Amino acid sequence: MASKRIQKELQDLQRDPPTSCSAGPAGDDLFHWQATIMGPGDSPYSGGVFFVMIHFPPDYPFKPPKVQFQTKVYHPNVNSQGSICLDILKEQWSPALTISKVLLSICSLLTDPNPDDPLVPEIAHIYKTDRQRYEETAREWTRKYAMG
Amino acid sequence: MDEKATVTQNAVQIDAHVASPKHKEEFPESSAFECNICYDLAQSPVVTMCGHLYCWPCLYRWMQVQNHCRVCPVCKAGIEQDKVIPIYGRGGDNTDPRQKAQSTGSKEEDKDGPVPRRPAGQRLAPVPRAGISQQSGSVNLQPGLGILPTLFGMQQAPGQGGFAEPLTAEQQHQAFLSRLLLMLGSFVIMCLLLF
Repeated sequence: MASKRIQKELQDLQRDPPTSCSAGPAGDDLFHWQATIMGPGDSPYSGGVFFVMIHFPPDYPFKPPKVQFQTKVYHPNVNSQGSICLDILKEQWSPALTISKVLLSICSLLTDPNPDDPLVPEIAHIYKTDRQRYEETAREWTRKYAMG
Repeated sequence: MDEKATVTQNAVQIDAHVASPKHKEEFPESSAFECNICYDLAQSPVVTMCGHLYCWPCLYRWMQVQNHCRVCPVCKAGIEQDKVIPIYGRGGDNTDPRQKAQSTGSKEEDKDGPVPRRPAGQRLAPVPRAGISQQSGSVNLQPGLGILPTLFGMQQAPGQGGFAEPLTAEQQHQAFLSRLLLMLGSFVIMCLLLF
């Protein structure tokens, strides 16, 4: 069932690719995908291309996929390992969600960080107290790690 | 267009069982009958009170996975095992539809342990319906109408007197059934077109 469903998502992605992200199997393994997310224009990540690794569990879609940034991101909800703190990837997961929707949610998380449920408290603190410094650092990291 | 065709062909080659890509282009409306969990044409279809369609084995498994509260994957409304409505299609006329449901269910989900029998259809319709057009909104407020004739009588008083009489539980049922039949009819037609 999992592989059938993943194939359907792949077909849907090919038929109707979402703007600003793309995804597909990294190799022959259908359960291991790689995706790219374009930094949203209205965020300090604008212009960057962020690589994301997706692992489907064998009991997908009953369990959420594991999604991790491979590109370094300066963000209150993304830690240095690339782990993402996003409710729909944990307790709010629903089997009606798709990778495409998950990627779109990550895009909006980039635009609107959630400093009240941070994965990196230091960045969250800076985001809350000194927005300009946060944006500068995020832009700098984007230039350094997500461009070229 | 060419490119699209090759993509579809590849997809079909990957898994010959996935019949939908080709059909989807021919009959885009067929996705209305796809399970919201496996994204395939619903097997042993059930519909939740919030109106979302699933294969019974898929929905059952999702209900087992959730430990605290059970919610509809699409809209997060509460769901309960005995409050889903089975959709009985055509075929195997001489077998009990519930047994049929069980056998279809186990075919799908053998490796993941037994899936219990699909819940039977309910004789009472607790769903508020916008339907039964002209004959007053009062009907919508009465779940369990059939077993509560007193309640029905109360409703009659402020209403249109004798006019309310035709709205017996029987008729409510019939209206509900005819809707269900209409739905089933279209489902059967879809099935006929697809297979």
